[in-house]
Amino acid sequence: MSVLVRDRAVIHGSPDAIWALLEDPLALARVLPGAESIVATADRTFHGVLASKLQFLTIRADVDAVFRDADPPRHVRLEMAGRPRGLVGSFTVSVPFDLTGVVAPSSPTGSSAVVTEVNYAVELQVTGRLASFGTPLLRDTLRRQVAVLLANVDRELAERAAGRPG
Amino acid sequence: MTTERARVVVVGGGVIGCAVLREFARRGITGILLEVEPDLGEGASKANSAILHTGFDSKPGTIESTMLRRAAALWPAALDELNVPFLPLGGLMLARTADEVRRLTSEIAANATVLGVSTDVLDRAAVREVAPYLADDVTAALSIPGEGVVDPFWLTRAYAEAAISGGSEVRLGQAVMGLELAADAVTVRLADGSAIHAEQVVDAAGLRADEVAGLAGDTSFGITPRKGQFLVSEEAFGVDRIVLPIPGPHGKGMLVTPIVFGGLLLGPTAIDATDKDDRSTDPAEGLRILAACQAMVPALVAAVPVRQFAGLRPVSSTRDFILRPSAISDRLYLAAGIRSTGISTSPAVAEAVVDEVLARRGWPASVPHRALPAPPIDLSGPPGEIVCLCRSIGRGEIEAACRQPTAPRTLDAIKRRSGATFGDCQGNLCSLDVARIVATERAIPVSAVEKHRRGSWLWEAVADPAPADRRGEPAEMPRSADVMVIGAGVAGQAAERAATEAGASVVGVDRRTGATVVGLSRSDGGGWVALVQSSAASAEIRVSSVIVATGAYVEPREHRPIAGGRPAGVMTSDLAWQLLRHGLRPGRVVALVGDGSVVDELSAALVDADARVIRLAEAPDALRGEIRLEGVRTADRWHDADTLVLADRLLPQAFVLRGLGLTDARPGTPAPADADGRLPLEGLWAAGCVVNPSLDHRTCAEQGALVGRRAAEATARNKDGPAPSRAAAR
Repeated sequence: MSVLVRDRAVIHGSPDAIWALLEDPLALARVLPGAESIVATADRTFHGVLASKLQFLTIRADVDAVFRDADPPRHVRLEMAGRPRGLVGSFTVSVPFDLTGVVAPSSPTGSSAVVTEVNYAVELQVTGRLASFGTPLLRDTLRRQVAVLLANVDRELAERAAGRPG
Repeated sequence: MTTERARVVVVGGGVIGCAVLREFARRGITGILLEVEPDLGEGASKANSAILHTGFDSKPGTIESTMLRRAAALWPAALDELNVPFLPLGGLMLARTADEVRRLTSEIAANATVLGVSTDVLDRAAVREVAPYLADDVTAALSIPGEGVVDPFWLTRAYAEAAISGGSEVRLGQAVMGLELAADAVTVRLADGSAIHAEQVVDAAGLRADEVAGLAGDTSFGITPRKGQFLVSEEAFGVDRIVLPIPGPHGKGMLVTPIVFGGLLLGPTAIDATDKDDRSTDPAEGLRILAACQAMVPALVAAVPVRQFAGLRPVSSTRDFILRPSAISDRLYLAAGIRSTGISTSPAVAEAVVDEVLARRGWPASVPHRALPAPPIDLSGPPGEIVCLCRSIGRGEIEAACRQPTAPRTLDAIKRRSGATFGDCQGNLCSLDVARIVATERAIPVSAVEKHRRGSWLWEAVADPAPADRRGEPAEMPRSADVMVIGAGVAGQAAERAATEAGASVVGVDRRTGATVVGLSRSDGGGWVALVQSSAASAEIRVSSVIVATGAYVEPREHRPIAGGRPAGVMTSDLAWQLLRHGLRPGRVVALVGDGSVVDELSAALVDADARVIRLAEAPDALRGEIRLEGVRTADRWHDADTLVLADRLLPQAFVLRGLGLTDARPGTPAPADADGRLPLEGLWAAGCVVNPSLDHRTCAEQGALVGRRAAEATARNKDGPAPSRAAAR
């Protein structure tokens, strides 16, 4: 697998809060971009259908996802293996996340708050038709997907903090 | 003949015509687009750099510059609505000398600032940081973050299909023969004798815009073609943004442009020409392009271009865009002279045209702009068996492309919609299968499918058409085995036999028997997982070892330095054999290149099909013809021929190894096996022509047997206990 994206983001919530979200399949279904269905099939293991917009195509894929190498609440690796519907081939995505709690010096309320710095990389292996879409397009798509995922997590945590769990 | 009425007729199905049709539809005004060719974008829109320019270097005060700036504001929403492949890569304009650095900062960056385009001057260290692949002598660069690339075919089609979803019509293969202007309407006379009374006509006929205007008596401008030649490299060499030189006295120079679907576009040249149909290419120009691009990106010295092509840009006699009503009558509006920035300016040009027409016609301008997204491709069906091997494109995807609103009628139209025939073999392994799908979808004989423009016939039926290959379903395959052999040619069969005799359980997979291996990945428990696709399903097969014996294919014309156009009738013996086996004749007068017993056999088969065969020892250096081949040149002598069949040089067919990083995207890269047939990843082996395409049959068989034995022995060693018995294997 090759690393296509390496980046970091800040989520407004503690690593523990993020971790709790990862343990909740219903919350995962809300934050995973394009998740049409998700069911837990074993501990930290899920099966579902994801719809990913590859700019010009919306690809629906049957996906098996598992959280590996869990070191709560500091590190986890999301691995997804899937087959797109209607296209020949398969994909495997591996996204190791490192979570670091940081006390933000100036929150909007003036008090200190814990935010989480998320460092991540996206490794991808594709076979078949997806491979012919080319690395730049796949990289762009992955970058957007992870950005949406992190934004969704941010929003979910904000809603929980406001007492409106999804 | 019939006469119908329309509010708007747009003449020309390029990117501008289609954008105008969509813009009218967004304002609630439906129209009819007429395109003479069998597909959209067959003119200037099909061969260009595919860049969405910011216009940073455009000339202030020109219509082109104004359109570029307006388009920059329109693109974000348009891209979102049209669902087109787009990459916001950014661009780097390079400076190498002190004078170029001065020009970059004091002229070009300053010009961009005047136009409101964001740019940044990078010093040498910053350039190294963002683009380490650039030549050492680059001392500064202008970063233009707003530049991007798009797929021009997709964009043109998306405009048209969005307009169709808004109630407009696109009519392909409709030649306009006359425009009769009256006070209240324009009568558009068509080649089939019918007519359309339109309240408004928009001339967006690209290279022919002056001729269309001339039908109405407007001779106020002329259009001449400017030819630009390009090379395509499937390997990207790490280039991740648009790289361009500082403009010189002879124009903008040649660019290195990432292609939205991967690979690089190199070029273009820019030569003012006179022939509006001459899209021929010249290998000498290809070398010039390579040299210019290598000067910016030295790694391109290893580039192996997969294709060379030429585009013609419509240059107006005013040297700027012409966006105005005709001097004869404002019932005819001119959108002409849209040269190299047609893709980039298309939404702004469409907006400008429609704004003015609405104002002049007094049509309600208050209609809110409707969102007209391009309809998505329906991929809900099964992928089906692999049709295009190089790109792993299944039957289902091609059928879905055929059912799009602008249904493709030609092979090139399918290529632009699905990518089929675009890969290494350039359609020589799959054109017949693709054409069969088009024929079935359109309910026409396969011999009626054409390559691109009118008259570009591909082959002729000489016998009762043979049924499609009865590939059927592969025999029930095991879900696991000791050894998988991919390919059932001479080396593959020998490998399968030898591995079986050595006690291994063996599964053989060959495309010709209905199943194709589309990917290999490491298995969690060691060994490999092969993803196998058949017409019914895809399946994973776990094996300890894989022997790749996928053979070779004949090097297509597109990889070779052969001057001339891109007519139908040029193929390799891979395709010629397929045609003959299915009762189709590749052509009437066939120039056949190559020697040896296999080529003798092909020659005899062609003669049996009533073709006249001209045997050539070497490939020609030039072709004549734009629609169908007319002749080939060897040793300064032209031979009249409507068909060229190349049967002289093989390339290894190692596509399945690319996903593993064992070969790059350059055509002709062999499987990197050692003397024992081992590939650099444990458990992978290769034998036969995929390793060395010049091997003869006997050597392939010997090598296949050797590798089969070794793979079986290695598998046995890796297992606990003794090697599996043959009984257990089967």
